[in-house]
Amino acid sequence: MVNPGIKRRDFIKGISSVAVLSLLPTPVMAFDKRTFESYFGWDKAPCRFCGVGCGVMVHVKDGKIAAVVGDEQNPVNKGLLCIKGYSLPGILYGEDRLTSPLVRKGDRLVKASLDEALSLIASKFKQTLDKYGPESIAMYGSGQWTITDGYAALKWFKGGMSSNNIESNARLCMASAVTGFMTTFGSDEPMGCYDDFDLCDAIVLWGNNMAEMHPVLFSRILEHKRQNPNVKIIDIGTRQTPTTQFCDLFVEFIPQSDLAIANGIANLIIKRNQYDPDFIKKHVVLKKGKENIGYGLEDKFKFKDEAQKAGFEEYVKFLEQYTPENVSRISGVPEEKLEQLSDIYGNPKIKVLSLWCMGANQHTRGTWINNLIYNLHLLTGKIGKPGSTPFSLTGQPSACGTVREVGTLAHRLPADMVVTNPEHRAIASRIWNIPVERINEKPGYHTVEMFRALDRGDIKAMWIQVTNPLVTMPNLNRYRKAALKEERFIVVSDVYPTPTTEIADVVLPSAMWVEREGFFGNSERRTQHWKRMVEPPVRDCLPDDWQIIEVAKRMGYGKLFPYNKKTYVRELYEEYRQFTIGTGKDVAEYDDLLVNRGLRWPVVNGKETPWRYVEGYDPYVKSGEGLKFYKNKADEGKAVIWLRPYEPPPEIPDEQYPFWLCTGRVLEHWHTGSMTRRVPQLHRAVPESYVEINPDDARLLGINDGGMVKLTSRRGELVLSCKFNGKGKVPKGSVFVPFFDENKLVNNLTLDAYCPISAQPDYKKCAVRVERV
Amino acid sequence: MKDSRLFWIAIFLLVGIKFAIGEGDDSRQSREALRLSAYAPPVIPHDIEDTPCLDCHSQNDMDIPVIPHREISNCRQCHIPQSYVPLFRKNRFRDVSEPVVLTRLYKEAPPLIPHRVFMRENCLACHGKTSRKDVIDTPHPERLNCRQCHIEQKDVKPFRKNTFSSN
Repeated sequence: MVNPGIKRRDFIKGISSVAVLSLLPTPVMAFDKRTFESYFGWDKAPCRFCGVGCGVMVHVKDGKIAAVVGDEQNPVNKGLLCIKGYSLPGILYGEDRLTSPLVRKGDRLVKASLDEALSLIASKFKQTLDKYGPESIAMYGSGQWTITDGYAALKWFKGGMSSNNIESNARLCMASAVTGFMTTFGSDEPMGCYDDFDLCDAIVLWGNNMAEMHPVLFSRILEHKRQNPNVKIIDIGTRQTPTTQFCDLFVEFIPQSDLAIANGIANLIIKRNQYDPDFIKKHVVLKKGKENIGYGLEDKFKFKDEAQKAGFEEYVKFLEQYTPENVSRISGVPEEKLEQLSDIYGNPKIKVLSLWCMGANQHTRGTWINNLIYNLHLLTGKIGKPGSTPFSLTGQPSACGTVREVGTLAHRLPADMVVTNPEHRAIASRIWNIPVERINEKPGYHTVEMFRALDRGDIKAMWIQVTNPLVTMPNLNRYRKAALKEERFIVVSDVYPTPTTEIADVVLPSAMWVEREGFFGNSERRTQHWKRMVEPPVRDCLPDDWQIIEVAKRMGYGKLFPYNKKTYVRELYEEYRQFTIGTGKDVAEYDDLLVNRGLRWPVVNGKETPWRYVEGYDPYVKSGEGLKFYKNKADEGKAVIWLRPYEPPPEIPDEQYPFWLCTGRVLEHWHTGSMTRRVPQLHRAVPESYVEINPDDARLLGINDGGMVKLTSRRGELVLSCKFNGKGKVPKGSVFVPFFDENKLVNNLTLDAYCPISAQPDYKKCAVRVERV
Repeated sequence: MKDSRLFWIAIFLLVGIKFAIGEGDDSRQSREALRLSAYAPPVIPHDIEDTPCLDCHSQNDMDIPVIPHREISNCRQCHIPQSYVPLFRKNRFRDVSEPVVLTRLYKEAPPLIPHRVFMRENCLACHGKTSRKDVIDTPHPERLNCRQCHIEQKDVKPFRKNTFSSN
């Protein structure tokens, strides 16, 4: 008989090591019981964090989450996770979890009953609405809203109160991707999918630190490269990141000059006759828009692009200014590297996957750089072929599923529809069973303008859910002061105290992630569902959608929300799904999502679509059409090559402020760290913010590695410790600061300039001074 | 025969009590210092140098934990360094132990693998003589093909019911 002794002993030096020896019996039992999996309850969910949408298995024990592992059955991550995913069990149990509604009494937030808090919100919103009209109220939501959270908010605002002042933090991260897709293809979201990552020959990263920001997808690429050593990874960036060390070619460029680089590559492709004239003839139209379009720095800035048709000859002529010599001068990229890039895009044998995220989207010409990357694929016909596609990565878990698909933005309705279109308003009013006049045709304030309106006093009541704008708004000093002004009523729903709950008049504690039922939609159009698995800390922690419904009912909009409390998530989702049926954006049925690891829309007859617009994969493409951008009806199912020039950024380093400042995330922390900093292991990995500086610059300024440094911009200042060789290495003349640290608010320094077409601000470039302290 | 049964009942009770009380604090503390929960990857318990992780963590002859899974080159995706600073905010999360009771088909059969194998494909990385001290050591490290006898158990319904019982 074997009696294995199980030794459990400490194995880190410094911690007392007591050997606990126990003789264990060999219990005898039927072999279908007490296996690893059946020890506890396990259920599927998408990860709470980024837009990759990894599947996890959640382990519930005694009513609490005890562990999370990667879901090997989920095709997104095939079992792999990053450390944030493994840390999911920790984010629910921070000791200072909000468990009671709070109401401001004087300068203090005091505990209140849930009913008191909800009634106060309802009466304040109703008063404001009655006295100042629908433009005086606002909702600021999130790409971390579940689909039904966003849908309930949208219906209440646009269908109930005739207000289009509903925005989401995705405006700060994905708006340029949306306008890029809409202007080029007439429909939002990628045609490709993650399968392309296993099929491509070259990966071109446009300002994208994938190893940290989408680590599981990056590991998928590295695995593909390991199996196929000829696969090339090209990193086009303004700073060396952990991604750079895995790349075959690093193309460092001066901030903003990506516009010139993309046009320069297109110019070379045409000059060297590497483009695909047949593809262009069949699938492409050319257009140009306005130039010198400004930066949105002024209050009430307005911009409307006007598209004009252009001919191919005109395009060729337009590109002539982007000679390798000129582009090299603007961008600092050697001419050989531009040629290498044009060889990759131009060689018909190389399947190219272009990837980008915040580097292209948080850009005062964000829409343009999105268009310009599409141009390269349209010029060479490298689109709609498995392995060859442009692919816009998403930051947040449901920026696609909720904000972009449901349309929780000032101008949008579900399924690519907009409030300015009378037909779209009619469709929405039919599904909502309301008079069509109820839907306001005038778009509301976009995010930056919304906070400016709060400052001016045009907005008097605002509800913020699942986001932390008092850490993330650019030029934060202004908006912090705005929020604290008299006659501003601010409601914040969150799970932990944050700088945003500090300024609130009412705080609602929320149920998070698997404490409630929900759906997320990820970067590759995959809608995923999870069940409620554990109770929230107290009954007063409501899901965000139910908070909205409770307030809407108290304001007399009960007719819009006639759902049963037990089944309302299903009812909301199925109602929302009606908007998508027959549009080419058909989301999966509720019941199908219960059993599948998500499905990629369009889902027709329960069948998902890996590649949009491609015959044989997309049911909306008719037999014989091959490839059809059928959503772009205005251009007869063709995609658009845009003539978009290089224009300089609004603020360029000068004598007074000689450094570029770039901000971003780190792998260990999610956004403002309100969840991840409460996980001890993640906090200990990156305890506070810091500034990456080039050692040569530091030497000139008398700064030592680890020393304290003061950064000053025209808007604010910040003292941080510096790192010479952090995870990233910045070139001379630039610094990088992560934004997760609520005690070191780098957004006091950033500039609230934005892309005039998408209204997305640029967090990646402004000018600062660096001093030793 | 009767004696041996009594012996096992006694052991069962003892073990039951041990599990009811919970594990010794020391082993829990050591695990928590290294990872958030039993299934999470360990943190990096040392300073990070410029040497690539696998220079040390792929060799069996050093007293250093060996990589238990296929080589994924972006190590820092899951393994993160630690600086021992005060917590940002306290956290109430407590993990549970991995199952340690070994299950067998019947008494003399080899134990089934009581945990998930994914990312732990190299058994000897943890169960070898010189490796992790908080897990069971194999009594026969010379037999390298572990999964010839020890098999993983997936969470699936039985194919058909079986009335076999060794009781």
